[in-house]
Amino acid sequence: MLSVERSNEPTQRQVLYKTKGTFRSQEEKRKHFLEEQKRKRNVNFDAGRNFEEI
Amino acid sequence: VAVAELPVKQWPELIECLASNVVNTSSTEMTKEATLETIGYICQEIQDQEVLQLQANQILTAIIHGMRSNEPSNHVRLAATNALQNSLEFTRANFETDTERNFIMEVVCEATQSTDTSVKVSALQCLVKIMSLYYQHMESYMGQALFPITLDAMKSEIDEVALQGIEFWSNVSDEEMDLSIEATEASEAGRVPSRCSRFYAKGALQFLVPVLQQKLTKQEENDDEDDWNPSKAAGVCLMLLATCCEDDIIPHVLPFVKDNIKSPNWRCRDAALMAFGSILGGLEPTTLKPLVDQAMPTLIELMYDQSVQVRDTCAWTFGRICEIVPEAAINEQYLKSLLEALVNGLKAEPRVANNVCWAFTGLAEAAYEAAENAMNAGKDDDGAQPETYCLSQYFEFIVQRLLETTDRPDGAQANLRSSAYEALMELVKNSPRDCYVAVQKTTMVILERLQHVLQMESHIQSHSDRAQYNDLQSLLCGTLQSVLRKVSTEDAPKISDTIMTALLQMFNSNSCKAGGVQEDALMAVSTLVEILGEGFLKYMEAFKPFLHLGLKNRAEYQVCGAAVGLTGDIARALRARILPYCDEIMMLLLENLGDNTVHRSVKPQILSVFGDIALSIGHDFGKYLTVVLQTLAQASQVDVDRSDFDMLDYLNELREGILEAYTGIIQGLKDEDGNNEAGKTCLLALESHLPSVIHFVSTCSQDPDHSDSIIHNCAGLVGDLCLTYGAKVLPLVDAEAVNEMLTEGRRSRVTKTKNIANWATREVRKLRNHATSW
Repeated sequence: MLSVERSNEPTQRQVLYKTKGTFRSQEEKRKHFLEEQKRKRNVNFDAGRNFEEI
Repeated sequence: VAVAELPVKQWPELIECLASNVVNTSSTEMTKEATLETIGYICQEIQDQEVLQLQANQILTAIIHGMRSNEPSNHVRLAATNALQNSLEFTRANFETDTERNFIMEVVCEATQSTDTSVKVSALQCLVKIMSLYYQHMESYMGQALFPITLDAMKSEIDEVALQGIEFWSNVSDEEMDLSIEATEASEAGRVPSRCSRFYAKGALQFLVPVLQQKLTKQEENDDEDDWNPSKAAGVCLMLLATCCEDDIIPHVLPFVKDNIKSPNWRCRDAALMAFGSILGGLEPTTLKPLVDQAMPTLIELMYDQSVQVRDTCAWTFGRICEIVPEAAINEQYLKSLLEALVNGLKAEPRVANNVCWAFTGLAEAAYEAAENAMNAGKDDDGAQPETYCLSQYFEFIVQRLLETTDRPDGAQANLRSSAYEALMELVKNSPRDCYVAVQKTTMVILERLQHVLQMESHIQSHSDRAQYNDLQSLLCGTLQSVLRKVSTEDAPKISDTIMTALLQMFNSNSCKAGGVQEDALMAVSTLVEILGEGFLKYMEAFKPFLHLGLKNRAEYQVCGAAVGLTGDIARALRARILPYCDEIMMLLLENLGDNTVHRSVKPQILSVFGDIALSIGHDFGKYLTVVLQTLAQASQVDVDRSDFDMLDYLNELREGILEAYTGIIQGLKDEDGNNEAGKTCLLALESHLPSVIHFVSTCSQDPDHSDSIIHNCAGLVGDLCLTYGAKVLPLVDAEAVNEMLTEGRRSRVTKTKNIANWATREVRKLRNHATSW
């Protein structure tokens, strides 16, 4: 017999058991990488702008 | 067959035929069971709910008929109950009608009382799902039926039943947390929320918590990570209840913790720790800190417990403390004994050591943040590195122990090796100046390991060897990045040859055929580019083929994305010296933009990189200008399905990319001394596009779903246009939409956006004043 998959299987909670929140997944690493690049890009752009008057 | 035919309006008589099979008194038990299973599969597999909605009544009638308590066959009842679970989404209309809902609920509740465990479990699963889908209609059933049924289920000695009872309340907590967020958002926006919480979790706490705590003490002796049992489910449920009910949970949990934490029975000690660790995330900081302070000596003692389960939970609790209430972990009074206990834990069983690594990660972050805060007290955060911090005197020792942990022969178990490297990365990343010598030493160790690992490739014999080998390379690349970020600009060139040689060897090896390794290696190169600046030029010839390979890796968009990002880094670092490499790079980037097989997430990055390249090579960008401006104009036309949040995020990213490209081009072409003819020609060529650029700025800023970064980029671009084109651009920028955008920017909560909007406003004003003074 085919098995009927259920969306509310409690095993979905399994990932929450003794969760270790801060370990960086590849996705988080990627996000961090992109954020860093955005920051550096902005620094580069800002170099051409004179904020001193503000 | 039904799943293929029903959505295209074929086989219209099917559902009626199936329904009559079930209600027909002459149908056999097997016919009914098979029919209900068929209905269940059809409901599960047909994604488009509208297809079945019109026949929802017939389907539901058949299912409810099969679920009735007077149905003699448990097989039929089970098939019907399973089918109900799959039909709940498209029977919304029936749940909206009181009489029909009452009837469905009555039948489901009756089925939860079945003596057949499978039927009981399936009916409880229905309740869990109904609670999620129809929370707003559950009030009249909660006190009378749902609460007693699920509490009773939680207490069951049958694991499957208890798991569903616990899941019901985990689900209620989840639902009520969402409702609480909705309520806050509605109140901030000054409107009435569309749905309200009935605070069932808060009301039921006093009855639920004792049962959950009881279940916590039923741990398996030889716990398998993949097993799921009521004890683990109870821990998660407590965590969710705490997040949902916050401090209200304390009086129900603390007595249990106090009574059991020193129990001679390991199950009770472990349960007490689990209860304590689980509720931490929900408590108010003012309640939390004294609670943890008070518990610290006992917790430290439990790190030496004779039971591995207790030590594991204790190390996890320290991980939670370091993350949730770090100020308690770096408390001077306990720091030394805590570190001793943790270092000792690194030598324990892999599962314990893994949790200890996590605790070190949090501890490093907490200590560094505290030092930063002390340094920046009263000043704006300037991102400078603190001189020292509370872990300085232990730093080298901890690093040594973590390096040893990464080398443990059992490091593949419980993710220990990765965790130890991750902890090492965090420790190095969050290290103050006085730990630099230790960071230097670590850099050399990582380099040696990288070289050693690269020599091991020929010894790989199995898939598992290959996987471990690839993981190790990824981890070393990651660690290399964190150590390199700390290396001083004077020291960087001394080690860069060795690093680049190792990375090039890695790109050349088979391991870079695995996307993950290739991506991590590209990110490591990116860090090297960052610290070497123009000094990276000497590696460009050797590295170019691998950059191109990365840019061409369209099948693995993460790799392609990392290569695109790295291209931007190289452009920023090499500035005009990137010119000889630009033709090939621009061709690859433009090919990727035009290729539908390239993942959409890469495209906004490519546009940003156009900006980086343009800024670096100035008027030499002229030869790409026509095609890039065409591409940007095309990308500016993109709109998305507004109900899809992911697509809205994507639209913002794409628009940021376009704005960054325009900014880079305009800044790059702007000629400081005004004598460059090529630059002037390019600027002239760009002039005819300016109305559409400003139109795009208005479209982005008037979009109700725009992000703060969009305003930041719009304001920057307007300021740059004023500086570059002067009075010519005034009629375009002195417009209502641009003024509104700048006003919004000046009111932004983000300092950078506020500053840039102030600056751009000033640039527009200068032009305006200049014009009126004539």
